[in-house]
Amino acid sequence: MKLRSIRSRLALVFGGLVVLVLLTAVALSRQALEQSVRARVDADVAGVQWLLARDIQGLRQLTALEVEKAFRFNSDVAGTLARLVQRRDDAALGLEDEGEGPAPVAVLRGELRELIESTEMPVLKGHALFAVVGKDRELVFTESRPGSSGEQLASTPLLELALSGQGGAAAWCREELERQPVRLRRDGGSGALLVVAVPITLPGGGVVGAVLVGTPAEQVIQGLERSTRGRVALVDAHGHAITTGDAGFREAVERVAGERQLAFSLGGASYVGDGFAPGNEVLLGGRALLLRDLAQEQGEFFAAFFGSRFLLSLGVLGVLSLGLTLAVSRRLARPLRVLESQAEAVRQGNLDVHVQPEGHDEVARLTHAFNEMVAGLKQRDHIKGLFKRYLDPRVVEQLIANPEMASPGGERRELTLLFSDLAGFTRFSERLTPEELVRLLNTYFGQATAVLGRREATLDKFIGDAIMCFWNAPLRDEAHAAKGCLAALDLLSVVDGLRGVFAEAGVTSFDCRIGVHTGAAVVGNLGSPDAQDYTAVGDSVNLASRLEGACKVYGTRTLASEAAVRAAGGAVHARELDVVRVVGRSEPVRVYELVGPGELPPPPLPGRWAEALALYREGRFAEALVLFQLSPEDGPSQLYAERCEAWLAGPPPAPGAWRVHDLTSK
Amino acid sequence: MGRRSLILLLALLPVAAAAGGPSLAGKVSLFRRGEDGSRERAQDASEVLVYVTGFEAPAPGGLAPRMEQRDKAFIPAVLPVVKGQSVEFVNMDALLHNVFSPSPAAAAPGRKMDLGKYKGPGRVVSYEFKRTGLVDLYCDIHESMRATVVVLPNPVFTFARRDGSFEFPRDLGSRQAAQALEAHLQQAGRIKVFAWAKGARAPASVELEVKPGVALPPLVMELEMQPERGTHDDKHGRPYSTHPPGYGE
Repeated sequence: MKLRSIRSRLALVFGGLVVLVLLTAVALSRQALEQSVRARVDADVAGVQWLLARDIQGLRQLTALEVEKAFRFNSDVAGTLARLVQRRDDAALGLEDEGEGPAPVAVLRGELRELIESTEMPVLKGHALFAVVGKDRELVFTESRPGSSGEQLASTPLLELALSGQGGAAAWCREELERQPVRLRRDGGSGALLVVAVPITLPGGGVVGAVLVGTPAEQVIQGLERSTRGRVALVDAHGHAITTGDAGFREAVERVAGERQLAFSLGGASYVGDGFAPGNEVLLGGRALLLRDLAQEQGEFFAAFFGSRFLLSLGVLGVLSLGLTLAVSRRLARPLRVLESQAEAVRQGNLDVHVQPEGHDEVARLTHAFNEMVAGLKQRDHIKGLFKRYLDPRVVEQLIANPEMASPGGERRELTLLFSDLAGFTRFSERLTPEELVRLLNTYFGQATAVLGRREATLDKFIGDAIMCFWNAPLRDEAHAAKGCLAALDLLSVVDGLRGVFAEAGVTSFDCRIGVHTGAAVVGNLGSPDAQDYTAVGDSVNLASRLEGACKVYGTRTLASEAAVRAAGGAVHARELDVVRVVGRSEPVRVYELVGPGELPPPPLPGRWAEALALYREGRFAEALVLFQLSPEDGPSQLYAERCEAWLAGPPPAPGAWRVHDLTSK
Repeated sequence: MGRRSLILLLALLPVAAAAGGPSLAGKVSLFRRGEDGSRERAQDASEVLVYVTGFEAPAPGGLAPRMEQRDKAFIPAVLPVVKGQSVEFVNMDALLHNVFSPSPAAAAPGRKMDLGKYKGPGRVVSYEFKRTGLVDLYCDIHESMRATVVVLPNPVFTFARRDGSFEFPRDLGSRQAAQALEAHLQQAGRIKVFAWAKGARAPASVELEVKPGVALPPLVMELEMQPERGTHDDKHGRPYSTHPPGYGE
């Protein structure tokens, strides 16, 4: 499935995030749970310690009470035991009285056994182990073998402790029980016992023996395990473990019992635990351990965790995240959709769009950028519209990059203006089909504008077959006059080049006239707000136009003002023609014919032009006439020849009047 | 003196005669174990009682053995007597004293030994010990008073010398005792000698074969004393601390 919309991507991201958060939560809770289990084990061990002490101390106190009652206050039992003990002492001293005195040890022992059997000792006799031991560990009485006694029990720390007058308790594992010469458990069981030993002291002082009472360790451990979470193990002084359950667990406990950190794995269970030494009164030389199955705890925890409540939460969370996703994506997508529709509008050419940004986020910034872009497009359109006649696209690009250069307000500036007109073309236009006319004109304009573009002219307007263009606006150009003059020469070349094409169409006699002038003019965007043109107006424009017109008078193809020629410097070669006063302008203007580019050697002037012109200026018309008539093919020479003849024919003119020629036509 | 001296003289004769007969000598090494478990040889072994068992013989006649209660103490603390002998308990203090014993050797059938309370100075109460054995004596009023009467089957006994050595019959106190030992040696073929001191962990004993005409080898025995510990109750089996003020007055 491809995720085409923001909404589905967001949903995926949110969903992934939820899953990631859950997984992290599970991992973290696992870790936390392990620490918590360890901490709880440490805490619960105190509880186990208390419970175990309570159990054992309880048994010990009950035993002590009953021992007190049975062996101290029952005069028969106590007295018999005392006599037995004393007699044994006496016997050891060789002073056993075999005569009619006190009964010998064997008799006393029998009496004592009968007495113990007949004495009510509900606490003591109910236990899995009940034995009375005399000094020197002599077994005085045991319920397991009522008929036998007198054997000496193997020495154990608990027995020695009791016979030294202190009570205590210890765990006797199976091995410990089997060390004894007599089977002490009366219930036939073989498992470990928790044995409580209470010394028997006589009213006369001194310890005469001890009572041992044992209860199956497994029962005690089961009781403890019921009261706490986890497994309880007891470890005796020799490192034997006593546990409930299978031998594997017991052996595993034995392996780690001595270690500081209790932790082991056993068949899928992973136990951690803590231990303590309950002391001589509870577990002589031994340790009690509380072990907890981490795996089980984790299993239970996660069973609860993943229970119905979790699924409910997951469902709620899922719905919430879905809703949130939809809301957020809707919120995100709405302005994007608006942008999309507005971009579509822009594509269709409508630049009058504006999207109101909401907030300050990326989308808002994008909206803002979109608005800026549309505004930029509009401005570009505007500039392009304004300068659509600029010939060189580089100029246009520069203007778009620097719109302030096309100051729309208008500006007075020195310009070089060029007017060009096709002479003699209109005469043929009636003979041409309109299509052919348009084709020929377009061919000319195409080449002319290309040439003007190369000379970086600002094309102002086409008027019929005329072209108006200028330089030094809107972009400033130091070489505007030179470019204008050279452009004029280029246009002549275009016309010359097109003669063949035009001749094929039947246009055999045509030429162009070009006027060039450099002077101050106002440039700017002129027109109504909807139809503006970037154009130049002013006296200089008129002069350039007049100069173009004056070409007819002089029979030249170009006519440039002195200002233009001077400003062009050496860029062109020019022939001085005359000083004219144009209509509507009082100042006479010296005019020149452009004869070639400055980079080439100057072409020869017709006849003895300069000499003739100088003679004419001095008023020596007859001499000048002779010289002018030397070049009849030259328009200006012919004009001057006519003037000389007129001056010679007419009355003598006012001094100098011939030097300035008034142009009467426009 | 006269007759009385003669009797004494006659009484000493067999002792002298017996000195030439079979003799039994030996040495008991006494060790004391401290609370810290150290074991040291005692300088003075004169508290060790050496006696022979296996036969009964009456106590020699004469003055009854005496045990005094003086300055709230039984003196002597250990008194060996022969079965059937009566011991005179003399209260030398101007206080009420009592003598009782929880020991079966001192008890009459169904009754423990208890001499009641009596006040000194000079008051004497006599008690006959009819069975062999150790008899622990206490005073029901004064907890610190304790003594032991060792009821032996015959008069063949003595306290060792300071260095632990003993020699029978020289150390025996009476002619009858020497005769009893000699008679026993002649007929028994075996002799069992015990050494014991109050507070000993266990008695030491040696059993020897007796062959006519063969001198008995010197006996070497070892006793180890335990640090004294334990308390005793009063005659009712209750701690002395439960006594009300003025108990025994």
